Amino acid sequence: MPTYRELLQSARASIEEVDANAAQAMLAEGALLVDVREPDEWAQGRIPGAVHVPRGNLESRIENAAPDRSQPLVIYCAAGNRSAFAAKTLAELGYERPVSLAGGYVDWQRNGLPTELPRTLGPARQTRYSRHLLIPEVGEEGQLKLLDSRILLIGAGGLGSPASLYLAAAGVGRLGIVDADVVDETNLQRQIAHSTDSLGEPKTDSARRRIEGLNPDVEVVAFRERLTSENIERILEPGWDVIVDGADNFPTRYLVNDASVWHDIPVVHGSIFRFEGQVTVFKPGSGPCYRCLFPQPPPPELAPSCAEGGVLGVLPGVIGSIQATEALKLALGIGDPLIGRLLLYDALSGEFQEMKLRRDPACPVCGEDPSIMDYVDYVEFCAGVGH
Amino acid sequence: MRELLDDLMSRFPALRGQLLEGDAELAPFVNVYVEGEDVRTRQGLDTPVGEGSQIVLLPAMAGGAMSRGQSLGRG
Repeated sequence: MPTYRELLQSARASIEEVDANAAQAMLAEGALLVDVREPDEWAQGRIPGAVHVPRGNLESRIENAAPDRSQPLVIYCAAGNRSAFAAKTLAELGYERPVSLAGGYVDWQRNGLPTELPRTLGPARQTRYSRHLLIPEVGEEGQLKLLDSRILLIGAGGLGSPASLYLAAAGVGRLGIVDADVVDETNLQRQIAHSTDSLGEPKTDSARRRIEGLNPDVEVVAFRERLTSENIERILEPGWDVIVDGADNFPTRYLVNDASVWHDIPVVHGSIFRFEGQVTVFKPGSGPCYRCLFPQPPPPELAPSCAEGGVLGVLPGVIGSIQATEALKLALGIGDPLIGRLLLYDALSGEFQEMKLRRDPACPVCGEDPSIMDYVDYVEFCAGVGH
Repeated sequence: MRELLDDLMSRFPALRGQLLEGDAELAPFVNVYVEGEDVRTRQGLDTPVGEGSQIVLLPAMAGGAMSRGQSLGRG
């Protein structure tokens, strides 16, 4: 009757054991790292890149985790014992090269090799985001993704206000805001991120206060300037996952578009006029860009009047909120973003319509033979003098 | 589509400059959709239009504001 010791010795003798250096070399060449410890051990720290297949479920779950039996496996446990037994079992299951990490996780840690602690939300965030955690498509993993997301808002006005508030509420970790304006009384009919208290203040300051009050988890990065070819690269430099375009003029729209294509950043586009709004997602490579639709801005003589066209106050609330929704879908990687789909909303009739948008192979920026290679600062003229 | 637009423009002459370039082709800064499809992906202005077709004329819209101090150049 063999003892445990003898069983272990026999297992170790029949399998391949490697030390940490050899293991790292194997991993660099494409081996899969498998952690066979219990869930409570895994929860307290693991080697980065490992998949978790507790030894209790080894036989049933390994095929899912490692479908290719020719892929070498580096198996570890706490000390190198359970991993020896696991390697033996995997050899019996037909895996070509299952090796056991001698000394296991304990030695790995002791030698100062990289480990990672699991990220959890902590009790305060579990409370704040509880309604997100209850949704299977979000959950703790999704919420952590949102906290890691960086979203840049062009404009903190009609569209940017609701978008910024809902993105902040959702826990987007970093919100950039580009807006050179100050809060004006005419804004308060729709720009709900601002208030009577903040009249005369830069919109970036006003929005920052409002956002930080709503959710201190959010880091606000303010750019109190107009977007031009001179500053756009600097503004993009920190790195952004999504751009929410709530600009109020053509030159900015085109700068944002061209930058998004060159930097491979999706843009959630929204625009409004009186009772009608439009929203779509321009994702470089997947769908059209703004120039596929409108290769050039309209000529000055056909530009809209310089006075504001008037807009139902709540309309940017609807469109801006849809923009925030699309940005969240992109950040989470869920649902069907409005790529190649233009959603039109008519507030008066209460109707939504959808237009199919296609990439244009002749697009001057994202087409097969681009003719625009550098930022263009369109000069915006005002049709009609003396406003 | 051409006939439909001609009819529309005869009733609203100011539309002509907004929709056509050089009087014959669709201007590049406007898009026209029939049943949700861009006519440029179909037969352009020769795209057939039926009874009850949904047509959308979509000019480029950048949004409202161009108030004091913002214009980059004045004509």
